[in-house]
Parts: sequence; C-alpha cells; structure tokens
Amino acid sequence: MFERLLAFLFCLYPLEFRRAYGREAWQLIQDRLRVERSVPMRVRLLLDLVRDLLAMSVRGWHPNPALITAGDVRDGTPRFQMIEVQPRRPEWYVAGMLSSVLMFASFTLLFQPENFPNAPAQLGEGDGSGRDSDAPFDPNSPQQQPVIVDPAAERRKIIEEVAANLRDRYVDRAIGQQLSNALLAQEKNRDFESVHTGPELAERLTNRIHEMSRALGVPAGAYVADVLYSEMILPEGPPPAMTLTPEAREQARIAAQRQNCYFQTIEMLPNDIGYLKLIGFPNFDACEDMTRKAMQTVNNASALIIDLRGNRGGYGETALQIAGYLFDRPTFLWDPRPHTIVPAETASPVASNKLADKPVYVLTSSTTGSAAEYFVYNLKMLKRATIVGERTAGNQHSGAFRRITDHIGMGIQEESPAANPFPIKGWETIGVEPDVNVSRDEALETAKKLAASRAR
Amino acid sequence: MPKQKLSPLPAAAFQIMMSLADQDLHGYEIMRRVEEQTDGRTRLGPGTLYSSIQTLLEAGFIAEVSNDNASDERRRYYRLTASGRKASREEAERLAGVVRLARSKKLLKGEYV
Repeated sequence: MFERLLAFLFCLYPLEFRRAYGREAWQLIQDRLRVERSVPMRVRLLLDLVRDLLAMSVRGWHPNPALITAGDVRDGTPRFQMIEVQPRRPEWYVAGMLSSVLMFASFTLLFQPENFPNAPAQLGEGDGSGRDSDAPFDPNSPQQQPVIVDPAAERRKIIEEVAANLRDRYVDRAIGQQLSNALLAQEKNRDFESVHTGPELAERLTNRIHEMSRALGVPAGAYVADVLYSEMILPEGPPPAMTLTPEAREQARIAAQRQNCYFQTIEMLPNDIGYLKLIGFPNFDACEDMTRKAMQTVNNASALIIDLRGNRGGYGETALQIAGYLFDRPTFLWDPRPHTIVPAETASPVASNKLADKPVYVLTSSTTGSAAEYFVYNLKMLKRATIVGERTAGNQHSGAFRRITDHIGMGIQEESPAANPFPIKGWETIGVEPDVNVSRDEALETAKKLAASRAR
Repeated sequence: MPKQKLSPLPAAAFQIMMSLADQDLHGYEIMRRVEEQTDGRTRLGPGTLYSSIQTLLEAGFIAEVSNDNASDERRRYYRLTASGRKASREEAERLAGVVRLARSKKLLKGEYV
C-alpha cells in the first residue's frame, strides 16, 4: 500500500523528469524503501518525497541555472554561486507533517491502488512481446502501461518457475528439490501475498532461497541461486555465455584504455608505501602492459596498499595478474565460476619483482564486489594481505542465468565450481569480512598507520 | 524574488561533487553520502538530486561512467571530472575564506579553518 502511494506520488513528477531519470529515481525510492523500514523512517521518506515534489513543482524540472556566470570566473577558474544553507526551523516540520497527513488521507480516500496499474514494476508487467524495450521509463505513457490480467496468477507463475528451476537445475538435486518444495509450500500458505512489485518479489524470493539453503546445510558464502528484477526487458533465448563476445571484449578494451585502465592512483607514499587505487579490474588484453608498469612503479615499496574501495569488479585475469606479484611461487586462487577462463594459479614468480614478501593491505568498502571480491577473498584466505575497511558486497556472480519473465530472471549454480580448499566456501551474500573493520573513509589512514608501524 | 533564490541547486550540486570526490557513486549512494557529510541536514529527493546531476553533467563537472557490475546494470554511476574537481576545490577555498573572515570579525571562535 505504502509503495503504491509512493508510486502514485512519483507519477506526479514532471513527465520530462521521468523520461530522463525515471528508472534511476524510482530505483532510489526502492532503495530507501528497502533500508528504511520502521514507521518513523517511512514517514520521513514520505515527507522527503512530498517536499521534493513541491520543490520541483515550484522550480520545474531541470531549471538549468548557470553554475558558472561571467562574474564568477576568476583567473580562468569557474566558481559556484554563493551557497545559502539555512537551518531547518521547527514550524517547517509541522507544516510538512500536516500537509503530508492531509495528502495521505486524501489519496487513501480518493484513489484506490487498483486504479493505478501503471505504477512502476508492478507484477504482471509486460506480455512477453519484448516491445518498448528501449523506450524510456514513463509510467504515464499509454504504450507502457502494464497489462495486468491477474497479478496473483502472475506472482504464482513466477514462483512456480523459480521452484522448477531450483528442482531441475541446481547442482545438488536433493537440496534443489527441498528448496523447490519449500517455496511452493510458502506460496500456498500465501507468504508472498503482500508482495506487489517485481523488485520486491525478486528480493523476497532471493532472501528465502538464501535462508532455506543455509538451513539445509549449504555452507555460508556458497552460491545457490538468486532472483533478479530488470527494468529492461530480458533477452529471450539460451542463457548468455560466461565469457564475453569478441565485440563486447573490444568495447571493454577501448573503454578501459580511455580510463587509464582504471588505475586512478599509482604513487609512492611517505615511509616507502606503495599505493594503487583501482576502481575496476580492466580488460586484461588491453591493460596487461599498463598493469605491469603500475606494479613496477611500486616495486621498491616496503609495503603495498591496494585500494579497492568502490571497485565493483571486472576481469579476473587482471586480478590474477596483480596477485602474481604478491607471491614467490605459483599460487592457487579459487574462482567460483565453473567454466572460468581465468587460470587457476598466479604466474609467480614475476621477474625482477620485489613485492612477493612485502606486507600488503587491501582496502575495501561495501561496494567492493565481484572480481574485486575474488581478489580480496583469495588474499584473505591465503593470509597474504591484511584487509582494511568494510565488509564487501557479497556478489559472487558464479551462476548461469535463466530468464523467467520479461523482467524477472534468476541466477542459479547449475554446475559445481572448482573444489574450494579454504574454510569459508565463497563470498555470496556474506561478502568478505575485513581483518580491520573501519569505515571506508578511515580505511586508507588506518592502512597507512599499520604499514608505517610495521616498517618501523 | 529571482528564480535562482528558490533553487537549492548550487548547494546541492556542491554537496554532490563533494560526495564524488573519492569514489564513483550511483544516485542512491550519492544521496546517502550527502546525508552523511551534512550530518543528516540534507537529504536530496529524487527531483533535486537528478536535476543537479543533469546540470553538472551539462557543465562537464561530472561524467557518467560505465557500470561493470552486470547485476547492477539498472544504475548509472557518476564520476567527478578534472574540471569538476577544480571547481569544487575553488569553492571550498572560497568558503574557507568566508570562514576566515568570520573568525577575524569575531563571529566564529576557533583558530583554524
């Protein structure tokens, strides 16, 4: 109900705004809904949205005030306008609260949710024809109004399809059967009846699969399956290959080279500490030389800090290449993907490399994911690095993808990954726990102190 | 009253650029980061946030960057550009100058800016 109210408010934003940023803005609201669950937080969310809506109705979409004016240019350097920050006054809260209560009551009385089937991401959306897949998100557009025949039937069909995939495709058939049976039983018990949107259903199903698989003895960190919602219509046909097409690799290569192969910083800090900040692991073919030069730049360091905060992954081959400098012999790194093209061992020792016996500190944040977690996980399991920062995202990305509807799909571990010799069997959902748990903003200073104290 | 006075964009834009100073972020992360760095005083709604982002994109102060996370492809990530970093630094220095002046006029206590 609350989400539908937000969806209705969202529909009141200017059409041009929703065309330009509708998907992202609705995703932002969904993110807040997921995190802000208590009643006060929900009220705050509603107030924020009402206030934002009112501000936009006064200001209009994208008023485009010049950030730079002629009078603001000094020595060729652009400046901002004077910033006015006023403390919020108590009466503003009261006015906002009253107007929100009035609006809430009005909407509840005047509009029934059933009258707004065009709220974003409703179940039943799409008819499988794939039309309008490239059109911007626009809940008011007649062409994009979802065709809801029977949302409950649509929800049931998705759950049955997820259950069938678990039963028929999950690598451990016995566990897959139990997961399937449990999901169907929950559906029968109407456990999903309160779910009205695609993203909500995907999240609920994913959480249930994770909870039940842990209860059935699947080790923490091992990937089983997850259900995903996509705003874009999912492609039909067989699941995509685990490796990129030559065209996609070429695009990634060009993109990586344009951005310095994602090496944002390569420098020597005081106390002979080498510092590398990588915002992604770039295409190996394009960036092998650049990566080698980066490692040579810090080769004489007495300690090395590798900053992976915000690094959402990329190419495992490049992660393996960097790891090769940290060992003096070929070393196994566990890759969760059954048909990975990443070699199983590092190419250690690397000629002229002096880093194999130096202390290493890897910085992490809650957005460190995928290939970056592959790097962090293996260095932690091998006790080769001290992990400083936040628990990582927990995105193992090791399953095959199966399409269920236009907007719902699922990843599922259909084949066994390589045998995992480590005590923690992966990082799916649990992420990688840092050795030194500090916020992302404190991680670098903490690692510098650790490296300096060890050097002394 | 000039329309510019009604707009919170300059403050919002500066906060957004500050949030992007050390990391690429998507919309929700920017909102959270701005909330953190203003001690909860500023929570950007979707309209304000994306209006500011659009203006910053057009000014070349931020750029949209590719999202390598396949499971997260709905989101767009943004990065501070070199000119955006320069503009942010200049603005921060200008504000520091304002604070120094306020201290010299005994409006604020404390020795440092």
